[in-house]
Amino acid sequence: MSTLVSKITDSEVKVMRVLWEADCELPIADIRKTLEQTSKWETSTIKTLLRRLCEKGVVLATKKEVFYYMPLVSEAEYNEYTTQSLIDRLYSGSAKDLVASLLGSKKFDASDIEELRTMFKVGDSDE
Amino acid sequence: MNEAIKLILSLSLSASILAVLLFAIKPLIRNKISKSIQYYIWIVVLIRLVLPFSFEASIMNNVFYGDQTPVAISIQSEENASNSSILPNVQENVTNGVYNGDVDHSRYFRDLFNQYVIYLWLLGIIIALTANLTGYARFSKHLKQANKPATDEENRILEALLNGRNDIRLVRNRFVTTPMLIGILKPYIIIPDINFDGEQLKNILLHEISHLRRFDVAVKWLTMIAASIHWFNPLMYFIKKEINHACELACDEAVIKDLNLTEKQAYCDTLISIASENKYPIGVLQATMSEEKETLKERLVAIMQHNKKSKIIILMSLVLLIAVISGAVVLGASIGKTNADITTDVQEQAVLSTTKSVSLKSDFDSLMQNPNFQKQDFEIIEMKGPVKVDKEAAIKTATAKETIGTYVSEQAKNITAVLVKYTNKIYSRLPGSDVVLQDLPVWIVTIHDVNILTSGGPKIPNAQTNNTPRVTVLGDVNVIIDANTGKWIETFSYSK
Repeated sequence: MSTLVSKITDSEVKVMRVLWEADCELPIADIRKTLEQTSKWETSTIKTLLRRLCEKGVVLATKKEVFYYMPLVSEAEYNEYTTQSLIDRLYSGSAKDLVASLLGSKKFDASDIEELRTMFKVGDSDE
Repeated sequence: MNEAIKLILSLSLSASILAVLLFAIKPLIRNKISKSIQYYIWIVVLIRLVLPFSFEASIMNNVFYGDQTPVAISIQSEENASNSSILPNVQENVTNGVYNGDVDHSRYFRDLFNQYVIYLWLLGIIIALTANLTGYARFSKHLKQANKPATDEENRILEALLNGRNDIRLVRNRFVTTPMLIGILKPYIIIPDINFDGEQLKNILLHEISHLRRFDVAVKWLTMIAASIHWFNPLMYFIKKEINHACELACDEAVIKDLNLTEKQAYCDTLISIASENKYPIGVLQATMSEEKETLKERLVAIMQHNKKSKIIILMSLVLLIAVISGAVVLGASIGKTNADITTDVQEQAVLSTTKSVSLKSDFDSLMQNPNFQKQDFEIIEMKGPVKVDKEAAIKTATAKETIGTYVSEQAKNITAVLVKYTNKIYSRLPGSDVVLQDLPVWIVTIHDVNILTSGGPKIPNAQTNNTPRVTVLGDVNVIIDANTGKWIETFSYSK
């Protein structure tokens, strides 16, 4: 989920909010009606944004008589992700130097962990 | 250069010299001496960076205020004149025409830079501190919203480890990826909101409590402040990294020093487990991770290889620590003259009956600063004694009625005297005299701000006076007295 959410732009979030508030599948006409109150986007702009969201896999389009759009990521999930990435960014920025943490900020991948465990096992037998 | 800038540069330089030496011997001592000693050594560097304490005889004080040794300054050389330690006022110099010969404007910009460098430095500090503090404030604010209390079981484990010695809270937070100790005044431990077994939690808490008892968070804050003050020093980046790294190694060492082999292995296992909780999907951020891995590797190796240090090693470590501390003291800072010395200067000047104002500038530098003085046809080089005629006697001769006239002693605002080697480039000896004007030790006695009658040129013994109309102007009178015979050589004056 996280890698998908990371790519949502601010404009796309506006469209997502409409879908989150509706809490059900919406056709493009309804989305446009809600967005008209807050922005001056053309239908084509909204279409482009929706197409991109579908490509990113955060919105699902189902064809009935017209296309209906449904969010695949909840607002809570999205907020969680943005808070997480904000905190990660602040931590690696300056907070890391001002707290005493057990480990650093960078994350490890599975092969690193494997390497460390192997090295540690080898170290064991040496003792 | 400004005194504050000198001080900061000297702190930066002396700490950098220490740091470079420490980086150089690091491969030799890394696995030999205790990690705590290595950490304390770096704290000495940190203290050197922020504490402007120094003896007056320290190396830095000599480097930045090295007036004790004769410095050859040719007054014809524009380069040297502008390097004098007085902060020149650019505006004033523009009006005085100092920059008239400054074709490529390099001197103008150098003076301008000297004048504003302190603001540049302050601006850097403000930016660095603001960036760090706002980043930290936002971090802790966002974290606080997601903190939730730890379970009773976890708090019990904490209480058992603390032994009632410290008061500290434990919270869980789903946004942190590693356990941490945060805050100086009201510190608390945050652990990731995942399930730890009792053994893991005990090891995590042992590590964080160790940080708490060693005041490591305060050291980290001090490091941040030092890095902000010395933002212009590229070595600071490495020093900061080294201190943070040494801090972790020292903390690990403190935790495991009384543990047996099985417990040490459990501690290492905990470190790896938490690292593996942090793992990213394969392929993301590959490049940035190797360093973190190396750091963790070094810690694991250090933990497993830890052994009781022999007495000789402990002794050597202490010797090294003391050597670094002495190094820091000897390198010192450029603190300038102490108040006591300035008082002596003031008293010395007060002895001169005609002195009415006290200048803390070096008299030689003041003389060099005068654009008119530089246009004279001689060279002077500052020198130190011994000479047969002392300053007071030279001033007495220079201000005597038969030398200079009556107006001086009443009107002079200030009288200065500097001892120099004097070389006249126009005439090599005094007319009608055997005195050779080549590197001759003389006192130049300057009587400041008196009304003088213009004569159209320097007053030279036996020289023909020209017929320019004589007018009264405010200016300085310079009287040159032979420093060994006490005889008057020449007098010249220039208007302000």
